[in-house]
Amino acid sequence: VIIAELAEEKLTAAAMADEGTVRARIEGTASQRDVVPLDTFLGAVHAACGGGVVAQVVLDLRSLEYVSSSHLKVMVSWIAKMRALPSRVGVKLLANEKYHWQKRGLPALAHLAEDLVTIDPG
Amino acid sequence: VRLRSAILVGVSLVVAAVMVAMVWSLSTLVRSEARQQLVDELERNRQVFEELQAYRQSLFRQEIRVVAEEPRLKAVAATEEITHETVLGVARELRRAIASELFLITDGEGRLLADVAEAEASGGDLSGLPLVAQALARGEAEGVWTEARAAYQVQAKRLAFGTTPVGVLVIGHRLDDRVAQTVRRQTGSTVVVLLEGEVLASSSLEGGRRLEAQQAAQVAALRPRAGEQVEIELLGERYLASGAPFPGHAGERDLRYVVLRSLAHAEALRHDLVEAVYVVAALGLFLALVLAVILSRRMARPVDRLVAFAGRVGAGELEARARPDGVVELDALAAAMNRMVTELERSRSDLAQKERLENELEIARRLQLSILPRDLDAPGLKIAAAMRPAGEVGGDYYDLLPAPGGCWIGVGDVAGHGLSAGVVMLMVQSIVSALARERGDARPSEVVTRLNEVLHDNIRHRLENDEHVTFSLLRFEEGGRVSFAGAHEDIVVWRAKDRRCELIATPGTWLGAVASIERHTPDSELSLSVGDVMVLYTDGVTEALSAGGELFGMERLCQAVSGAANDEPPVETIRDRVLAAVEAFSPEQRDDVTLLVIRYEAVERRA
Repeated sequence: VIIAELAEEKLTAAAMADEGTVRARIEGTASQRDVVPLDTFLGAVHAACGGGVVAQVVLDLRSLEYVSSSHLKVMVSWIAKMRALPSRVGVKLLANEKYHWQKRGLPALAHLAEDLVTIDPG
Repeated sequence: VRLRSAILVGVSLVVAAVMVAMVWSLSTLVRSEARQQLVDELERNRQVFEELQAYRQSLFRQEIRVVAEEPRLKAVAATEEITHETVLGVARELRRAIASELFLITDGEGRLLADVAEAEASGGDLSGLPLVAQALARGEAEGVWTEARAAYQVQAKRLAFGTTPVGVLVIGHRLDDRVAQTVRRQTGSTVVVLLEGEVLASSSLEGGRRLEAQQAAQVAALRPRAGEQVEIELLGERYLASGAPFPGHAGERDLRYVVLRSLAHAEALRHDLVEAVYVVAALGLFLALVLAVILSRRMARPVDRLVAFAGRVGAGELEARARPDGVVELDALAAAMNRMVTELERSRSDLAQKERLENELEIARRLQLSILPRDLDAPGLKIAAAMRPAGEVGGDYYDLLPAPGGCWIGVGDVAGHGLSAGVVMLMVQSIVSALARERGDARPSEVVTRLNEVLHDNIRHRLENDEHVTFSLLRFEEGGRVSFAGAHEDIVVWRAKDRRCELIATPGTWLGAVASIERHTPDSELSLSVGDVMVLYTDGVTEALSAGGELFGMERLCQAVSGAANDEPPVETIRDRVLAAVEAFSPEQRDDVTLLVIRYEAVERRA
């Protein structure tokens, strides 16, 4: 499965599949222009999990300094789609509490799918 | 000027110019060629004339040789005792045989024995005449004799018995019209023989007309040099003339001949040819005009169609399209115009959509502002609030609702932007308002949980949308106790006692994304002392970006609140100071900014 990289001006993302795990990393600062690219990237991650082979997605957000509510909305939608997959795919969020949005937002995000999402505060 | 007319006139002028130039060139060329041919022919005719005269002389030479051998002639010339009548008789008999005009016989010394033209003449010494002298000396001589109004081609032959000369025979043929007419028949040229300007002989002109005295005088006045041609008009017709001294004439008198050819006859072919060219040119011009009309119509028709098409587009008929007409350039133009119209149509559609969207946003913005509480009075609290919508509706929300012994305070933000976010925000306000009024004594978590259920159903099932809401609901009680539920931004509390800010988290989760959040929606509490300032806000404050891309953040917010509240000014002043700090940090507002500044004051109770 090929997951296209994301390389915007201040936001980058990449993913790779490895023995039932998709490891994805999102870094930088997201601007309003990055909403659609982020949606595309996470959509590709979701598509990669559709074959029943992937059991977990590790999403490394430790270097993701800032996202707006629009980006959080993309993540909420992504979580909803991951939850709708035929086979359970766990989502592990590698967080950095140094960033206010993560400290405030990721727990709320995890509560939306507590059976699926776990947070590693790093 | 219409294109069709321009093409027609242009093509016609070009064709006409080409035709005129062609006819003029051809006419000039033919005329020049005809004249040159006439010049050449005239020169050839003049040579023929001279050769004919030489030939005549050669015939006369043969003739005189035969006659000179006549025994009777020799006998009468050699016999001294013979009468003049006898000699004259023999001479007349022989002259008749050769039909000459001159017939003279001299003796061996050159004295005249007989002259057929002058019967009485006799004895005159003719030995001084060059012709007679040459004949006596050389045996034969020839030349041209002239009289007052006549000229003769003359042959002289010595008469001899053995080697003894006994006399000289001179015969001469007059140069008359017959000579000229013969040349006329042979060459086609008119011939005129002139002696001292007097016409001695002439042929008829081309066309059979005779030279009259006036025309003869005109010809006589011509004096073309050898090889030169001059023009003359005779009887209304132009002639080309060439001339020379009469061949064989060595006398002092001016004996010349002139040959003439009609220029009109020579140019008749040119006239015919030019006329034919005129006819062909006229026909060609006519055909060219017909072709020009057809072409102009063929070329103008698609152009007219394009003009009409442009007119329809100009009138707003943007669904119109130009059809290809088979002319490559015009088809390319039509295709380009179609693309332009398509773009124009799309732009107009986009513009209309944009206007519609802007109208919707304007409506949403008004809705957002219109449902904000007008009255911020609550017992024990001084409240100042502000909402500054960004260009695009962001879905910020705050509300203040009365409750027994206190009030409800709600603050939240709908994720995303636009009209749908505004609609969700409107739902939040309505539901919270209804629930809070219905159950004033409810715990905040109960209201929030109920709010989530309604929102989830509305957003996910009815709107089929994916918005979610960050929302905190606070229940203030007059004693300073504040209970709250719902995940939103941390609550900032500036403590008057130690003049520092305290951050209080709002645990829980977001609303509208899942059906039930009860397990993750705890009630939390904080306590306010008199003078404490509680600040509620949306992410438009903490996530305001500087020009360098830096977030305003919690730390700056706390600093701003501490700085603004330190001298304990009215809550409106604190609000304005904090907003000024945010604006100074981030001149370009990207998101809705909402700020509530709430100071707790002791409740005055009536006795």
